[in-house]
Amino acid sequence: MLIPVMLGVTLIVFIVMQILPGDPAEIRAGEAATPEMIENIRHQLGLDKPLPVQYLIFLKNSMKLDFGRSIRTNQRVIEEFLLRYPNTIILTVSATFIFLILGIPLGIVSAVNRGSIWDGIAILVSLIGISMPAFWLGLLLIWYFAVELNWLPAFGLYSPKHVILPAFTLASFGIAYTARYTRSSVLDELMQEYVTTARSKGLREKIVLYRHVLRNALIPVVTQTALGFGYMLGGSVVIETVFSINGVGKLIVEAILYRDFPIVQGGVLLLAMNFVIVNLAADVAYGFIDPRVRVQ
Amino acid sequence: MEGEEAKNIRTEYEVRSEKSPSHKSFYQLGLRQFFRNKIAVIGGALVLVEILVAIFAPWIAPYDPLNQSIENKLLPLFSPNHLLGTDDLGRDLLSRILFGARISAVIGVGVVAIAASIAVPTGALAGFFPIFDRWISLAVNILLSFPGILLALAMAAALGPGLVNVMVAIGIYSMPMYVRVVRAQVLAIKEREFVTSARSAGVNEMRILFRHILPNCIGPIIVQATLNMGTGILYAAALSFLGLGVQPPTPEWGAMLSQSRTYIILAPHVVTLPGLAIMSVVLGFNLLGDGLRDAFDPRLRR
Repeated sequence: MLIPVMLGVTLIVFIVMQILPGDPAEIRAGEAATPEMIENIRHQLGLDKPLPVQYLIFLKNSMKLDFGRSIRTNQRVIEEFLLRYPNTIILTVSATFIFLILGIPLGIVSAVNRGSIWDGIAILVSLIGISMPAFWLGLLLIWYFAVELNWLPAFGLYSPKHVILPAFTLASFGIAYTARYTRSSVLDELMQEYVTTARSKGLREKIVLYRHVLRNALIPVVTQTALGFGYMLGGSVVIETVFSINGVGKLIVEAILYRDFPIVQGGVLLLAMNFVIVNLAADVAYGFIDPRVRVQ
Repeated sequence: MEGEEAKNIRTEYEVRSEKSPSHKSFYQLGLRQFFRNKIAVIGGALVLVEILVAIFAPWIAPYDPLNQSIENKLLPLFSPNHLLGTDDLGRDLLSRILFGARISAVIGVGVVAIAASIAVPTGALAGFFPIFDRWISLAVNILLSFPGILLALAMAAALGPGLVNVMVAIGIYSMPMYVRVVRAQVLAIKEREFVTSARSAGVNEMRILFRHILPNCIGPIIVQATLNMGTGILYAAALSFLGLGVQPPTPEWGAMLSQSRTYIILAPHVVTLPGLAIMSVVLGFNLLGDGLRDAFDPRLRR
């Protein structure tokens, strides 16, 4: 399944780049170029070949991580990507960590005290978190914590302190989503018969919860974590722009605005591949954690 | 004597049917359940306000949303002639937010129409015909391999900025969700007895799928569409914020945020208000969608 999916991803990226307005050869040649120069560049880039051939060349080069050179800086796309990738990963991994340590307990507290005031608050918070534009939350956090209180730096990613605001912003959706997911997962498990058995054996409620219910309820959360990580990888595009973080997302957005199509193509493809690999890892982990499921 | 007995039986039947809810239709039961759920009703109210504002914006807005007056720029909340103040170009913020409801309503409806019109039949085919299932599921997995907003972003970049292009980009991004929901429903329903009986009556397969099975999937599709309205509006705002969606001076909430973000210190309301507008509309659709799901899911019904 992995290989067809990856081929499909490259095909979609290729097609999207074909729709992109503007002739890459003309853009690269610059404004003062003569028609011969443009033809020359077109030939160099292989843009005069039939589309299926172009796709196969793109596929071959992609496997070698060769996505050509940036039109703006003339650097190799992979170098531009790797230069910014650490920032994106720091941001995304911190955000994943934040949404797990906040979202899961919130969901558990909510489920265990179902119908209580805490449950109500948790549900409300998670609904707001899901409905709020993250970039807006980012702007508000910058305004309050960076400008009004002057506690935390707002722009860039130069120290651990710089990570807090953007990572929390990026995590906001994940916190809310994980809390909701965990809540319903725990509630589902609490209705199972083995819980009644455990209680009727006279086990204390805490042991029933921690040793029996959570073990089962948190299994699906593993897959959700991988999905959440991917969601944040995509969301980092927006958040990096809000917080002026020099990451892959900001690179791609700027490249789109400058029509620097090799960067867009390589950046989107690499982020998608990254997500595919994380999902694969989650599937394998699932098999280890849950003996009922073994990945073939 | 005989007649009297018959009358008694009928009366008993009538009494029983008044007490038991079983004579109510599936949708009546669902609606009753829905109105018992206060949170869902709040969601419905938020959505209703959004729709009414979208329709009546030209009549209720005090000013033209594009009308600039530099001498009145960045007026605070509750200024004499501008209830919600003005933005950096002196445009009335209330009017811009009211007209923004129109843009977001169009985006929400457009995204759902584009996504559902293609993805619902696709999902139905995948669920009904195993030969299509492999390929359609592969396509779904490919689309889901793009993390989060990235696919919509790349599509929006390729199509260029603009309202319609944003709807297409987010519509394509939304398709896998519908395909999955419909496929799962069709898979479950196609094993039911009425399908076998339709088949034995000689109804052709396409007709069974689209006339007999698909109408039974309408509940989950409506839930998905309601939630998709919310995510569509949210993502469109994000794309417009990045400059890849609806362009200024159109009073789109995300574009408004993007333009006025530098004024957050001078006049925080120019940033807080459009964000609140986005949040309340998206929250409305999320609450409504959740409420509908709970109301029409027989497993959760009490």
